[in-house]
Amino acid sequence: MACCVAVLIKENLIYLRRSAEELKFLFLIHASIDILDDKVNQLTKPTSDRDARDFYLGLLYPVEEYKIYGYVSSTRVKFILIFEHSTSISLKDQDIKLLFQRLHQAYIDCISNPFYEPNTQLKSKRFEQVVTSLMVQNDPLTSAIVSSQASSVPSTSAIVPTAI
Amino acid sequence: MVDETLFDYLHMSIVEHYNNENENDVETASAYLSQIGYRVGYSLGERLSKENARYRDELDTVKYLCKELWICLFKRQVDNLRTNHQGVYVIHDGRFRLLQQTLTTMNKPIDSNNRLHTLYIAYSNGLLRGILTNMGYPCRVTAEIVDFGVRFQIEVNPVVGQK
Repeated sequence: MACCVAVLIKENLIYLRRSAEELKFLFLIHASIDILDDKVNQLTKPTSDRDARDFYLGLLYPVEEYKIYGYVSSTRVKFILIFEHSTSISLKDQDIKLLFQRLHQAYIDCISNPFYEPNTQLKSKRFEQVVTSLMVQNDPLTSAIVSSQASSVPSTSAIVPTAI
Repeated sequence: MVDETLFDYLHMSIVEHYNNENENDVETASAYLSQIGYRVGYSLGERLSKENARYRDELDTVKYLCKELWICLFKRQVDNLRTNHQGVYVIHDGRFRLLQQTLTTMNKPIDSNNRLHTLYIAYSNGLLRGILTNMGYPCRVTAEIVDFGVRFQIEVNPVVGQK
C-alpha cells in the first residue's frame, strides 16, 4: 500500500513509480538519500551491533503526511518506499520488511536478464507487476495504471486527465 | 550434478569459439571472455549476497568471496588466501574446477607459458572482478596457472570511491 517506490544506484534513480504526479516525492527521495547514507556508514563501523537482517534500515524520517522506509543491499542498491499516514497505520515493521524482500528479489530477477545493461532504467514487465502489487490498490490512479500495463513507462502523466 | 557438466561444456565451447574467431590473438579473446565473466559476476554478486547479510569492509568481503562464494561457484574451498593489507590479495586454488577437463586429457601440469591455456581462466577473472566491483570494490584481477591450480591476484583500487 505504498504510494511511491524508488530504486537507486549510486544516487542515480533507475526506477520510480508514483501514485500521483507530484514533485514532492522526488524531493523526499533526494532528501532521504542522505539519511540512507548516514545509516549505511553507521552500520559499517565495527563497533556497532549488527543483527542478521542488516539490509532493512527502518523508518528513515516521518514527514507530515508520509512515512519513508529504506532498504540497502550488499551491493549498495537502495530501495525506498513512501507510505501515506492514512493507509499505513496498521503496517508493522515486519510487513514492510517482507515487502522490501519481495522488491529485492524482483530487482535481482530483473538485472539477471543478460540484455539488461547495468545502470540503466529498469524496464521489466515482471518487475512492474511486483511493484504494482505493492502500490495502493484502491486508488483510482493506480487502478488505471493496472489496466494499462501494456506500456512500460513508469510515470503516470498520461493517466492524470482521467482522474476526478 | 548435471548442471556442472553442462556449464563445463559451455565454458569450453565459448573458449574455443573466441579462440577461433580471433585467430590465436590471445589478448582479444581474453578480453571478450573477461567481459562475459564481468557481466555474469555483476548479477551473481547481487543474487548470492542477498542471503548473507552484513556490511563488510574490504577484507571481510574478500573472505566472504573465498569462503562462501567459492563454494557456490566452483564447488570447493580456496586453498590459500594471502594479503598485504594494502589492497592486494592472492587467492590460490589447488585444483581449479574449470581446468579439470583439460587435465584429464593431457595428464600433466599445464604449461604456464602456453598462452592459450590462459584463455581458460579469463572468464573466471572477469567473474571475480564483476562480483567485487558490484560489492563496491573496483579491482583488477590477474591469474596464472600453477601446477594444476590457479593463483588469482586481486588489486583493489584505493583511488576510486566506494559509493
